[in-house]
Amino acid sequence: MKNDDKQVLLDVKNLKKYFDVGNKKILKAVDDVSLQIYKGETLGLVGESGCGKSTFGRTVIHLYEPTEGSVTFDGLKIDKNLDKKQRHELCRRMQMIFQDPYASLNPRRKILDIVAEGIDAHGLAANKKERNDKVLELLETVGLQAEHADRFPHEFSGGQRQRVGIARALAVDPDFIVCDEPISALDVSIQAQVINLLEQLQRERGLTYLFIAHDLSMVKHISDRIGVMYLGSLVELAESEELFENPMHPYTKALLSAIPIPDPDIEKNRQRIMLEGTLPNPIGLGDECKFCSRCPVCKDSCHKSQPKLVEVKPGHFVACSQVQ
Amino acid sequence: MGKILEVKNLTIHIKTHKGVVQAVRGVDFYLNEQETLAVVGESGSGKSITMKGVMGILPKNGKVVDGTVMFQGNDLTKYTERQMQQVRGSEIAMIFQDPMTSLNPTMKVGKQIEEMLKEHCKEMSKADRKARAIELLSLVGISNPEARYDQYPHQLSGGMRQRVVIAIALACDPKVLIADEPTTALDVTIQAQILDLMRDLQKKIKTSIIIITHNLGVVANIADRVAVMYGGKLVETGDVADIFHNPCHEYTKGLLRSIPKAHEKGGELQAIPGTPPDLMDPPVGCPFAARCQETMIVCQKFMPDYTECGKNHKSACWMLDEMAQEVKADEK
Repeated sequence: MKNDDKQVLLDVKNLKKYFDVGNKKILKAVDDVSLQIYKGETLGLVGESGCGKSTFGRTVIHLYEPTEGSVTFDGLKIDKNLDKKQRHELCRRMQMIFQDPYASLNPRRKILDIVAEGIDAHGLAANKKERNDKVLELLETVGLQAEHADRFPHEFSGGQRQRVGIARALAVDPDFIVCDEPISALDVSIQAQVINLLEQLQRERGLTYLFIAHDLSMVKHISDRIGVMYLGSLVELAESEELFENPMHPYTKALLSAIPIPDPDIEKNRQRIMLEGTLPNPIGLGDECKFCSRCPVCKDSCHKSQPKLVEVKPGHFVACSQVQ
Repeated sequence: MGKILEVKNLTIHIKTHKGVVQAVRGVDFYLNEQETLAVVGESGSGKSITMKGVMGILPKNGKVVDGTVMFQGNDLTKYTERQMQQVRGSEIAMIFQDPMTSLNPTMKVGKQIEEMLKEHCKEMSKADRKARAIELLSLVGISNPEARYDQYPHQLSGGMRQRVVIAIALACDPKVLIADEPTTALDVTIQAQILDLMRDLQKKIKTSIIIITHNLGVVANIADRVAVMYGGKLVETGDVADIFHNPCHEYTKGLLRSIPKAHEKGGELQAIPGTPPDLMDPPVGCPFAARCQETMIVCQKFMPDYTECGKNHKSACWMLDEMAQEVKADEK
């Protein structure tokens, strides 16, 4: 995509989502994250479990009410001032695909009704026949057959269920889809099928994806840009090629070097940057840079303040005082 | 290097209310001393059940109906439950996927390690056991082992818990360690730590490892040899370099094609179409025939024999038959 015809679809500014965990303690799941997602692109979001990437995805489409900050979707700021009709329309335009295809489909409903739920809620079909035809067409789009419509979720394999989840998201003709680890519950050979389907749908319908995952090689394959999160903060954001070839934040470097590469020759002679220890407890962190406890290049100055995300190269943002 | 474990024609059936699932259908493999064998395959291909059969910990409705498991000259399938208890833990130990469910949440981690020693090293005194438990905790890279000894599993992170599970498995210096997806539940950074630890420990205590995984990156990282399973059968085995650079079975080829290359970008991924076979009613021919690009009539009717593709490298695929090209041309 060329720079000049980039159109911002989703503008997230200083988004915060805090959870009250009792005992007067606050968990800062998403802490001051700002980013923009352009029309038709795929933004990948990676990080260790517990870094807040899923919470970010859910807060963006307002499944969670943000504690602070704003989300602007296609020029419309999402807040309490919206009327019911506008909210309804936003729900239609922003959809989500969930991680676990076993938990995200109601086991007591037929595939037909699961996929049609959005169509019914938004009144997108004039009559029952149109509704059912629409569902059958969707099932075909995602690579299932018409006879599957009358079955129940338990009759499907994981990959097929994920296709149903995709069909459900597509049913209301959305512009933006949050894919929250859509492939991590699937087998390797099935993962590629689902990724290909998502890419094909993007080409045909001009969809925009926020793709949350922890499998970095898949994220690289599907994303135009990638954001790296650590303990609720965005620490690096760049085009995917750039991020993989020229990672700047010490956490990104360690994360990339930790991915095992499926080639024994490369693996045998690889030098890893090993991260000491594990994620610190995200509750009650101080003012220092959040990565200090595991950072190999941490200096005294890092303990004083949290670094801000700064553009060090065109399109490449890093939050690390040692790099800037 | 001798063979420490040799499995021949292992066949396991599992009874369910719908019928009998032929989960493992005649699997042969062996494990050399001090080597790491990776078993890869789809979920439901029978890799975990094979290893549970070797360990004698099949679910109640599962049964080894045929085959032998030779371990140090004895057939484990002939052992009674009591004899198996002597082998399990002390000779062959197992690590499970989820470190949260494989530890007892109400018991201090030190005690859980000691439990193993109590069972298998009866001559040890209480003080010896505690010393050994602390030694094991530090062996698996847990800092401040004396303090950790008195902690409960919920006080440890996922990576730490998996280290404790490894410590328990290694308590009696087992000859064979079977790790069932030991890193699947962990983050990549922690996964790298655990893989390093396993490689280090293997050198230190000279154990042989079987690792079950579906992550080909992990295979490339840790394995010496690879066994590929599909539909309850072993379809290809070979040295890790041969499997990655010169795969012979169409499933292995497809699997390698379907992962994105780290150094290449763009283009469509070459997915394997379709889904694995239902083992309630397994196909008579090659289990992969229904999804294979190169499938021939013979593939659907007969299971191919193993063909030698190189040193230590064999594969069961009709495409390796010398007549395959001719037959394919005819069928077209």
